[in-house]
Amino acid sequence: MIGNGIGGFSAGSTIRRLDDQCEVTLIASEAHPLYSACVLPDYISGKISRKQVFVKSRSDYRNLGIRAFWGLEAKEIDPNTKKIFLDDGRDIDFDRLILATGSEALFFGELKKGLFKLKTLKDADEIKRQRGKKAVVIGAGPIGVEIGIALLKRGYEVTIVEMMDKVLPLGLDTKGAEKVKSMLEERGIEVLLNERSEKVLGSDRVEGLVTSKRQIDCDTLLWAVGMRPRVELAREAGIVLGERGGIRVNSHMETNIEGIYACGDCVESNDMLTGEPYPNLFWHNANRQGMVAGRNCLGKTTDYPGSQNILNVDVFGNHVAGFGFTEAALHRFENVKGMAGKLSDLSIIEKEKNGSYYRLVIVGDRCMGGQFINMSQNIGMLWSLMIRRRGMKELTNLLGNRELLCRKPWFYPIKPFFA
Amino acid sequence: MNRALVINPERCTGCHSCEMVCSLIHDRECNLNLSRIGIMKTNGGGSNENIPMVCQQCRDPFCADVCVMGAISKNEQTGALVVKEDLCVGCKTCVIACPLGGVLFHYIKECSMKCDLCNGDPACVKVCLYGALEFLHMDEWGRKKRLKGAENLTRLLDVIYK
Repeated sequence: MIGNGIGGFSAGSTIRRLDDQCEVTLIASEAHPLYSACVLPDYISGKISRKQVFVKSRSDYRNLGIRAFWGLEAKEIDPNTKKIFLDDGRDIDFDRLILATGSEALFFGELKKGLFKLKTLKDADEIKRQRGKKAVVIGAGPIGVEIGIALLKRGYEVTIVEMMDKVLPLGLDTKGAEKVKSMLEERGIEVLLNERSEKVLGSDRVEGLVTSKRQIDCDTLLWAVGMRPRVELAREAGIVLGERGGIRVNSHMETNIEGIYACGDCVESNDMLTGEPYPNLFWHNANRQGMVAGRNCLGKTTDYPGSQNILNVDVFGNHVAGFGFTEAALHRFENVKGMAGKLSDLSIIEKEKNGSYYRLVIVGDRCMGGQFINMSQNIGMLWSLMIRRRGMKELTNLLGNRELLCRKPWFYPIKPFFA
Repeated sequence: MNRALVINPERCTGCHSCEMVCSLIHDRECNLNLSRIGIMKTNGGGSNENIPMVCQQCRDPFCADVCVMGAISKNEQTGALVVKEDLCVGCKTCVIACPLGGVLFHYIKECSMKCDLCNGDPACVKVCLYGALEFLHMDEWGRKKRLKGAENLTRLLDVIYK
């Protein structure tokens, strides 16, 4: 395995669970055991300690019998002779290879003092060491919002600059996004929308940011504009990439070269809702992909059902959740085969009550997305119905019929959503 | 895993004893908000409209897959999926993911909570006076289900041939 994220680790542990004879080697470019990148904002804000970020320890690898090369980068793969060349000059033979190289944070321009991105633990450590007063976060996606909140808790004055017209642009529609924006502004985070970041000021350390509308002085600048699959290694080995920049794999997570599998953030897998390839860079997808890749590696044919996206941000105690697509995002999938129908059939169920809010996006007969603020308990059922592509008419019939509902009592909790 | 918590909703009267004892055992206070099991009361009366809802201890659990800390894992002895509270960071992803509402959020400890089958001896079963909750061996449960199916069939035949 190349890569020590959740994809690589879950592939390795799956292989070990099924077969205790074969040799499993893992090349980890970071010298840390498996840790969770998703909780790094909590680590920056001081909510959890550095020790709590780690999911596994090195002894877990030893107990599993996985030989790990810590802190070494794979430089080159030769698929013909089945060899991997490491950056310290050694080479390793393989029969089967699993690429789990993950993703890296996007940024533009050069990194200088006071300018950060957040993807690895090292980035988080650097942000923690920084002592500044005024921070600007570029990008108001889930990572941008979480870092903004974390920095505010560290005593910074925070401004979030977003190019699009709302916060959490891929997860929420206008009304929900406005609620989140007012929650942020209430606690003192300045949110600037519709502004493109143009230039970073300062020669060796950050002094400010020029956007399309104004100039902001700051001493700390964070890029949170998204992630990009790390595919240089795969590209040089001759592995075919998809049109969205990830490694293209079939349903067994195998690449175009036999015996080389890929999983995790570096692949683009089919989305469960549309059936189109889409880079859904989430922990649970990488976890499942790793399991599937591990099983197929050993010749146990398993299909990967597809990826799902999820939004889960805690904004000052308000739980913002979502899944599927927003109304705005659906327009990109107008002519996709897996789409539930024409967009002219779009209907919205929206309700606001006692500080909680929900919005369901329904196309034709199928639910294609949902957004929820301060409702976490009963939405799992909706999610599971959505990814199973269940018809909404059938569902509302069921919810209206008392006798049918008595036989399927687990549908009761979602009744209020359709009332 | 050889024993399962079986729910017979038609016998439930909605007395909330199971919820009380659940929070009492786990958190030393009788608090409906801290109970891992929950009785869902639907509108209107009638004995078959109180439904105890609790984690089903899935074989392929989604809550464990989405957990970014690997905090939910199966206890091999009891077959229960257990939340390790020292690992949980309270991100609520598992709460969203569970289709049955089996994972809940502990508002005092700020972490997830779910049914852990009380280490193989569920307290809720012991206090349920009406037999709505049972803790059965899998083979016993299968036999009971088969008997119930046969009962239903005979009732149906009675209706048809009368």
